[in-house]
Amino acid sequence: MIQLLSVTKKFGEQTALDHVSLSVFDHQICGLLGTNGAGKSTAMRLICGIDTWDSGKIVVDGEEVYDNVNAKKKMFFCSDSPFYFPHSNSLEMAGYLEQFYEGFRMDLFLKWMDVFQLDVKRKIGTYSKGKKKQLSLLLGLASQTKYLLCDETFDGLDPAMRQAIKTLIIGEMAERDLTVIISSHNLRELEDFCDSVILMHQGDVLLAKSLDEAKANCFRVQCVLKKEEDMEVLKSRLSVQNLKRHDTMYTFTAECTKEQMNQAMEGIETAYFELKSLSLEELFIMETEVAGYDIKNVLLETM
Amino acid sequence: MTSKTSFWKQCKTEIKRQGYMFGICAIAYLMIMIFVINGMLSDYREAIVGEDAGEYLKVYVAQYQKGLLWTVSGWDGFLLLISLGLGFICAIQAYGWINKANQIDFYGALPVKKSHRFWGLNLVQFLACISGLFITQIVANIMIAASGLWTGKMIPMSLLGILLGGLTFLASYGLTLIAVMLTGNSLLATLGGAFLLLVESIVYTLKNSYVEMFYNSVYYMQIQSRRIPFGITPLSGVLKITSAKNYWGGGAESLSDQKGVVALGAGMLLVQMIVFFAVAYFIYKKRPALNGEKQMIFAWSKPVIKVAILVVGALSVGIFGAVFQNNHPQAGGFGLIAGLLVIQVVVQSLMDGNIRFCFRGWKSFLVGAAISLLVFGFYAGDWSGFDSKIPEQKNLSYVSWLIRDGGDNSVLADDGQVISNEHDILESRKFEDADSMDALLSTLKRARKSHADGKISVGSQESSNENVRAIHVKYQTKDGKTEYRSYYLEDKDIQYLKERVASNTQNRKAQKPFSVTGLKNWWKNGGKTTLIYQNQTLLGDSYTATGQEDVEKLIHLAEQSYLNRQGETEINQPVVGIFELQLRGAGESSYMDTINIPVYAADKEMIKELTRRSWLAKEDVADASEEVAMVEVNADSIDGGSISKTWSPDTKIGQLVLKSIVIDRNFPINSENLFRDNQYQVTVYLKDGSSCDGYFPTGKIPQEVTDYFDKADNREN
Repeated sequence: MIQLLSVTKKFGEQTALDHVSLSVFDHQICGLLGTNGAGKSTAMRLICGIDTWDSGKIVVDGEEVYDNVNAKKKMFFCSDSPFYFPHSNSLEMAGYLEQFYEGFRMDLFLKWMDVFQLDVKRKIGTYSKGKKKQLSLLLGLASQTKYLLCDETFDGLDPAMRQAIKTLIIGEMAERDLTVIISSHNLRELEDFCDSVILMHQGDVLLAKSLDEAKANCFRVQCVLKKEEDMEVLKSRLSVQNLKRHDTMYTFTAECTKEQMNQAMEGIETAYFELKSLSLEELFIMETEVAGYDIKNVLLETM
Repeated sequence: MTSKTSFWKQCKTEIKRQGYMFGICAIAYLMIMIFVINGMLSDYREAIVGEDAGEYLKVYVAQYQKGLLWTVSGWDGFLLLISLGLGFICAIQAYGWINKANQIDFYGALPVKKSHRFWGLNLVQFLACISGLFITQIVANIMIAASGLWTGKMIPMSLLGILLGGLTFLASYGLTLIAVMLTGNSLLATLGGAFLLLVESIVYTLKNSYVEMFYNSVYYMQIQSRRIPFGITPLSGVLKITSAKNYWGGGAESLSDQKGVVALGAGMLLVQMIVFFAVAYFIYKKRPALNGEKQMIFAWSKPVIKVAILVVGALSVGIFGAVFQNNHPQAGGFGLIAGLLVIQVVVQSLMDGNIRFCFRGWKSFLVGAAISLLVFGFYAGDWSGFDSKIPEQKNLSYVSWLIRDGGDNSVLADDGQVISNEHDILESRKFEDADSMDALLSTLKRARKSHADGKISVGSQESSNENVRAIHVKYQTKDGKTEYRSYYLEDKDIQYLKERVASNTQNRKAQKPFSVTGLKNWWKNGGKTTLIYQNQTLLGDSYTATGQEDVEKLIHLAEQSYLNRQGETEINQPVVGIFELQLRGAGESSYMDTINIPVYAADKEMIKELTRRSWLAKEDVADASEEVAMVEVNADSIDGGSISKTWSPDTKIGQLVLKSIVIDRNFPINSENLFRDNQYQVTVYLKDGSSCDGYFPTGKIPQEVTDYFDKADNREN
């Protein structure tokens, strides 16, 4: 398990992570979501022990991660802009990493390279951006580390390749103890792939839950109330957010379970009532709006 | 996988990846060493052509073997300078990844300890250097062996060369690493590394330049003798080591002294290496991996480094400004301010990564400007009183001085050693008594009083027009400090000093350039001598003393004459003749040194002895005039040039010139006499094709001669 305990990281005056606490449980695919500059990449780099932090603690399987070889050998970091030695080919890169990761499976690597139709002897410099990202993921998976951290690695892949990589990851998870952390802006992509999500905004964690739990606790409501004043009653019973009215139709989101919603609606008569689960994208927008990141409104105000 | 295993695996993979650095190091060393050794061997082959397999050949072989020993061990500097450069290059290239985000991610995520990555990378670079050194030394020894000059001493010398080269490499590498760790991109790391490597030399050169530019009384030997100012950068260690060869070449230092100098230089490099690596490692540990693309990693380092560059750069531009305007302080000041502004713009733009920010950091600019102006003012305004301040006699334990061109070219000390350079002569003389110190200090006070600017020196160099003469002075204070000065005094001040010295027996003894005791010890040490007496006349008859007994007798008489002589004799009388005491070292046939001993008419015992031997010249200038082909007089003209005129000895004016001049066969001795007129120089050409110089004593220039030159030079207008 990976744990961040009140971790703070600053770059000069800029606070990248502000007392962040979160946990990533084993054998999960965890989506790391967030606005631009939320601190996702910084968090990933700190988890991998690339840099140190100003305060707090980062623990991987009970061990401090920074400058700890035992902890670091459990991790592989796929950067958003992977580095390869100049003029090297895939085989040379695999050979280099084999020196450091004891469990590196060269046989699997060669097999996958073949499957993904990547020429192991071709100079990596001649690969497309997407192929370089594919190679990074394949090297990461072949390293057989317990944790694989992918920083926007999926974003440069075509849909077919994304699906193939997902299948590969799921297959590996079925075979061995693998935990994957993926940061991405493509929320639809993560929605059907992740077990849990961590939502970050301005160096803080807004939400850290399993995806099912997150969806079960947040709904979008559309209703027409027979009595106007019942809306005030509803507000007093529920955490009503993003309330909008269009003629007699009310639209709002509410953070609650279905049971809590049913209890809140007791005694209120409606002409129309619809309860919908939020998509990950809607959940993202809702949470970030609550935290003051209402880009849509900002744009409207400035226009 | 243990962390130790990962360390060695990392080294192994880095060696594979950085094979090209091994090649670059080997080629760099090989190219320069092959070039240098081949050059030496070519000189040797040329030198031995036509030589017999006798004494000369043995000397050549010994000399070349010595030279090759220096070369293979790097004492001649080539090997060490290459090591210095390679250290810089290797450090920059080894840490090229440290400021590139994707490489930081890649290397940072690898399961390798941060410290292991640091030391592993450094070890690989060191191996690249040391393998190059090994290969080079093997090739060098093969080349030398093929030429038949190889000796067993080459092996320890080669090992020493590897050690010295390795130390130099590491010290240079470590210092460059500090720059790499402090900066956020390769350009700044390169510029910073070069600045750190050269800063000591730049500061030292600047200091000397300011001293020489603004102070008149700088003793130039002091600057030359202190080639290593502070010993804090690898370049100073290299200079220290290479200076050992100069000592050997000069023959003034023993082999053990030379070894000591090399050991000291190596020790300096060792200490520097340890300190630089400790500092670089400390910064490396503190350095954030994700630096946010800062140009300067640490906030504190930016103003500190900027101020250092501002001060050094502005003072450098200031000195250029002054040089272009004849050392004028105002031009220097203008250059300084211009330098401050230019460097502010360049450095701030580099540090902030954009020229738009060139006027940022005004606080550090003001600090840099204030320091630069203070340093400039310190030298330009002589705030320390370098030129004007004369030490108090009560604070001095002794003084020593020598008057340049005053016959002090060489001294045969009582222990039989020959001291031949000005600095060593100055070091060997001590005037500890109150009278001697007072003689010097009161002379300097007289000189200072007579000048409106309150400085002692009257010019930055000797000038025949001004009748000034250089005097080198050493002050040894009671609290152990040593100060040197070279003053340029007018003849009247020099005369005052000489009269004070001449009238004191102790002073004369302290200045004595030779002695019978010294001569005996010279012989005892295996040295050889030849004593030639030459009359200071037109025909200049010369005689040679035969046998040690005869030489000793004449030197004894000369010593007595010197001690009994009145000061006024040397000041006011021309020299009758000169004894040339030629000294040659043991086992070598080559000429080594000469001490000139003047004879005056007032030296009664010596004159009696010379008369007895019939060595004293019977002819005077006029008697020998039939031997003269022509006489040429050169005079300084008012436009700074000179005018010359040749007369036949048969003409009236030619005869007048010949009757008036004093023959000057030995310049160093007679130039000490102060009664010569420096405005006119005479050359007498003899019918046998030879020539000799002469001069007019003060006030004895024929009217016809001055009339001629006044007219020729249009002086009356």
